[in-house]
Amino acid sequence: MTSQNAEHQTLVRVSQIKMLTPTIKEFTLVSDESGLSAFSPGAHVVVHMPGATRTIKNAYSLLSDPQDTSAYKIAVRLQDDSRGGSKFMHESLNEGDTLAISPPANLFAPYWLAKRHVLIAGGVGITPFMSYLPELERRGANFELHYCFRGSLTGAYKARLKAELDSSYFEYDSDAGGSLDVSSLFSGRTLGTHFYICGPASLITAVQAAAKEHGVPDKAIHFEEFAAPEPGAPFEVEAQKSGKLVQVGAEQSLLEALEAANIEVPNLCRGGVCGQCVCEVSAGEPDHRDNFLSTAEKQSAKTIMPCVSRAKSARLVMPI
Amino acid sequence: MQEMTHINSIESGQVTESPYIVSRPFYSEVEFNASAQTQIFICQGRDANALKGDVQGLYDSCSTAERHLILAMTSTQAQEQLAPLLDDVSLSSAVYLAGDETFIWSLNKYLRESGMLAEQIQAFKSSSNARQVFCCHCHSITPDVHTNPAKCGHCERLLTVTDHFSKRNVAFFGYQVNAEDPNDIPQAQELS
Repeated sequence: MTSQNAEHQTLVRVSQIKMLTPTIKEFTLVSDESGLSAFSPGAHVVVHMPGATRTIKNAYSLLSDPQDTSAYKIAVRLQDDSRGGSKFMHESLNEGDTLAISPPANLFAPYWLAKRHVLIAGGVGITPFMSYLPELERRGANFELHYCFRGSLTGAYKARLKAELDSSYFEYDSDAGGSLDVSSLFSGRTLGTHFYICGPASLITAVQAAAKEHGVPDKAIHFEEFAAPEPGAPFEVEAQKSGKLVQVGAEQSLLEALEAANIEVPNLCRGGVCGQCVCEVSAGEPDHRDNFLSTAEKQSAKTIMPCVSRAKSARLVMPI
Repeated sequence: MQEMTHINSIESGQVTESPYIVSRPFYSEVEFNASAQTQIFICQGRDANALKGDVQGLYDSCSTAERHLILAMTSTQAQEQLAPLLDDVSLSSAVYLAGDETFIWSLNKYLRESGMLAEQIQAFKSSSNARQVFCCHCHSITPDVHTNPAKCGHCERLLTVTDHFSKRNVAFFGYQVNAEDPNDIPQAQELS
């Protein structure tokens, strides 16, 4: 058994830190007590990082072979507007340090009934596909990988993937003038083809738009974009059932502020993807920043994803 | 029986505030899938006379370049005609099924296994009230059942025909109506 506290955290030791590019570091995590649990391709862990005033929790995709339980690997890109999470991982964490993680969860598993898998990665968005590839190979699945990056900054795994995947590998280095024509991804595709996108919102939107133009069914497009909570103007929350007035700081997420006030909200990815933490809003105007709620739900302003979303109004009233 | 909420896909089966059996197939109005590049009509019948009413209207509204028509009496015959088409048909395709429940759902199963997604398949209201019934005692399927209760064609138990439909078996679930007293034979009702 690995050590777990009440919040189901597992303590791991950082056994190796590798600088892959000037902005991406890879971390190898091991458990000193016993093996780690196996996971499924596309799974992520939430890393708990001690911040100056609060614990920062960010989700990172596991990029090792899902059957390898000797270690987990994650890769972290240093974000320019980091609230402290990627900055901590890059600047404060050393080999030998201990880190708390929550066990793997998966919101981006391959659709195994697909006849062909088309993987589209942008920059550090390559990470979930690193755990797809060994399993796709083992199953003899039909797949191809399209990898977009900036050669000088974000092409973390290009050499290795090129060598391993050969003719199913396509790369687009924007520093070398390369760019992916998303429309071409859809021409001549036959039944059973599924597309998976992980990368910046702009890439996801572009691929979705091209898919729509080609009449590709929505359910054939799978994507994951962890919107790390971004800072914003401070606001306050009237938590009705708890009878508390909670202040949300500029650098703090709404979910973190509620947790700090001992208001429990069930949550999983903390990145606007899974929908676990959805909360009701009875007054005030939410500033939706998630990938979970539908456009109609966002417009109705009746619900909010507190992990990434904030408020446009100075105050939100929530019946929690 | 209350009305179910409107659904487009025959697989979504969502239901709100209704005592309706969620697993019972419900056929909402078929909508033309304008974004699909290929429109495939699969109709139960011997010839083009099988195309009637709404099916005919929708088929006629498609351009001859984008539409395909499969006519067959059984789902097995339809599959034989479909197989070469599905090998290289565009990912951007829509299917419209018209026939009895067994025809519709056998083909739905086949199309899903061929890689088609639920949102690509729509069905017109079943042309018959006849049901296939899966006997939960001997696991055999009795076709063409019109009454409830009905006798299992294999073990001959008298079965209550439920509204619970299995997409995997393409049959409604049936269990013995008079397990405690075989002499208790309820009056058969016509299935709706």
